[in-house]
Amino acid sequence: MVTKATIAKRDRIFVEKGQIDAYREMAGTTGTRWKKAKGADLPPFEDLKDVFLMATCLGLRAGRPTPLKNRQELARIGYFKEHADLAVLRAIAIAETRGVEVLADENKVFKIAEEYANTGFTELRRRVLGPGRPLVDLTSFLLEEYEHLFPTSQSQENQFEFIDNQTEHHEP
Amino acid sequence: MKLDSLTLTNFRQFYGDQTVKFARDSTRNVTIICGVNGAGKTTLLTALSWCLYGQDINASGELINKRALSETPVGFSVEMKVQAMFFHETERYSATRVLRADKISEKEWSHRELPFSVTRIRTDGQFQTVHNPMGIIESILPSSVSPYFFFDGEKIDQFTRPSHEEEVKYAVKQVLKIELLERARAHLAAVSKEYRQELAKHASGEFTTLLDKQGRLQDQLEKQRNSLETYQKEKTTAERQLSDIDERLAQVSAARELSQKRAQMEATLKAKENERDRLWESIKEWDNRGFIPLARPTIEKAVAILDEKRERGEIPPGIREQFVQDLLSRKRCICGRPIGEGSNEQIELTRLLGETIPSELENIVIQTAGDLRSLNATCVAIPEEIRSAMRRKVGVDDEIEEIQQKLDDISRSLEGSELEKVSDLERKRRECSGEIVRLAGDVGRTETLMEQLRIQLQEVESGISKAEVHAKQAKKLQRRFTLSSKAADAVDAICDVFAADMRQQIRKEAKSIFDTLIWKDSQFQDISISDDYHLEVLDRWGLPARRELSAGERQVLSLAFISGMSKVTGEEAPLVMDTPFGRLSSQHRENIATYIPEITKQLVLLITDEELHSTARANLEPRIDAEYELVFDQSTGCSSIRSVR
Repeated sequence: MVTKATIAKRDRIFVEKGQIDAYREMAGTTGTRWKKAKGADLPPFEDLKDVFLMATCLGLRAGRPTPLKNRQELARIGYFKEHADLAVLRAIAIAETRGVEVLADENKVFKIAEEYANTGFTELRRRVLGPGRPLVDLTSFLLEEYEHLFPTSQSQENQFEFIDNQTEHHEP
Repeated sequence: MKLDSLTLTNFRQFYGDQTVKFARDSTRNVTIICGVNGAGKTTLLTALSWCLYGQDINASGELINKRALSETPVGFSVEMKVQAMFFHETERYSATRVLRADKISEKEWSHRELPFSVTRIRTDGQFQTVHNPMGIIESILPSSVSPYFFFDGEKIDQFTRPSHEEEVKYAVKQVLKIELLERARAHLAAVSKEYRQELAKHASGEFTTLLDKQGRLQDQLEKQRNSLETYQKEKTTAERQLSDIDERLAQVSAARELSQKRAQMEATLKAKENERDRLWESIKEWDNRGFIPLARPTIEKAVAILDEKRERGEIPPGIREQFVQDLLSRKRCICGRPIGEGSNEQIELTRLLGETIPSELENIVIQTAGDLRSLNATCVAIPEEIRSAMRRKVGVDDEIEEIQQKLDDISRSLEGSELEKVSDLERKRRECSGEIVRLAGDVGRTETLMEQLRIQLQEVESGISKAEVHAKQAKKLQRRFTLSSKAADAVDAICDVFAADMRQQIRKEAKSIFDTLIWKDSQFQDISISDDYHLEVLDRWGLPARRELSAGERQVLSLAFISGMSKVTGEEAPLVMDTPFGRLSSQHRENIATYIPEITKQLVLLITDEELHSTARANLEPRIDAEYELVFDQSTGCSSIRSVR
């Protein structure tokens, strides 16, 4: 029985140690790479939390969580959007525990998310930080995944040519 | 003139000594020199002209073979030479022009042209240096006429373009040796002057006056004649300048238009690129929400669990937690029934309390359930948003590529065009036009004046012949004076008539050649050469049809005119043609190949392989007596002449 206790809160999220740099790169918070970037050269993600959410959902597709060995703080949870971001994380926790009680403990909810993110991170980093342009690769990657998830009757039409056009290069 | 041989030494791309011996037989009079573009056909022609006439030719760039130049050590010199051997009226000549270059350093040269030399080779084998080499060449084949015998097939249609009348006139005069007539006239006038001066010694009174007057009139007439020639030449030059300026203006305004177009396109391009950037920003926004559809299966699972719980009444709880606790602490139900300690009601209520979830959690759960339901719709929307944004981006990509290609085309068109200031060109044009008007006035004025003078002169001359002369000696002088004056006047008149007659003959010859060479059922019926040497082709209504001539037909017209000229003069000059068939249809080529050897005493054709094949070649075959190939060596960048027949 759950008594009328306050909801256990968590105020930061963690990732596996060593992943931070890649997270920062994908969110565009490091390096000169993203200076004055425009259009297709933009960093793929707006914020660290967005990278985290994508990693988490990729981990979901893989189907198994990976516990963290050495954790490192990534960001504060306050940045998450209530109605979309947190709702999805809660859905994950509900589905994982097959119950709603888990929602009383934010620690648990986030732990589940972090472990899925850990699983999905490797694939995300591989697909986005490859030789091409991250935003272009991310988009093509997502559309591919969508095809697998919800194959449309017009799959042919939805195949965009993701050749990294030289013509899209902008002057620095 | 009949060419015997041409030897080049280090001329342009020809390294070392290269020789061509020309076909000279009366029936087998055709020499073929074959070479791909760039192998040196035009260079051969240039060499011939340079040898005979020197600086006059349009020679750009270094004339001396580059390989020979580089092989020369510093401090030494290298010689470039062209030697032309030819026959003229049973005499054999050798013309040699030499350019020597001294290598001062690796990059510095000093050029020295040695004196032009022409040697006459007598039948007994003796060599005789000609004292006035340039004069002899001018008399055999004047430089002004040479372009009509040694000609560049590419340039030939310039001949039939407007504002080339003076050139036509000059060419005709030279080729027909009208100059001889003019010299005769001048000579006679000089003789007449001498007699007049003699006569003046015996004259007196009125007679003297008349003689003086005649002398003065003659002098004035001569002066006017010279002025007229000068004005006419200047007018032609100005007209040509005007036509040049107009051409440049057209280029500039075309260039300016293209420039403007380019600027517009660049602005559009920038806008499109911005559009593309914005589309990517939009795509990025959607991508960042893109995790949601990935979680769809999980979301559906969670929603199912929540639905199940709701169905089972667990959420939202049928009874709120707070409400149950109030009941328990009040120990009374809302209906009023008491809830006793340890009663069934109390047990039931306590049990219920255990099954409710904390109110805080309750809120979260309700909220989550609601959020997840609306996220379901998002799951479908997001992929579609991304796809449609990508489709729009691809559309913009195509537009950008199209614009860039057009920009490339414009760049290429503008390349190499000198964009002079339009204002300068306009100013020059105005000046030029003004000058042409002024000169036209001068010409008209001078012609009128000359006419007046001639009339006055005739009056005076008739007065002189009638004048009373007493001494026998004086009478004899008077007769001779009259004779020479009249003869001078007669020759003066003859000049014009002769020119007109020659024009007619040339026209007839040219027409017959043109008929033979041009397509049989063409619309062109006649050729005319007007008084001011305007070359026209007339259609069957007698109207000028020059505009409708294709480039090839213009070439044929020029060819016909030149051939007509050479036939009328009976002049023995060889026709040396550089890529003459380039722009002609195969029918024209066949015709020309058949008839051209008959038009001239000696024919040299500088052609590419494709210009002359199958029927055209077969037609020419019986007349070919010498054939050469120009071989270009890629590795040395030099050409050589190889005999094939």
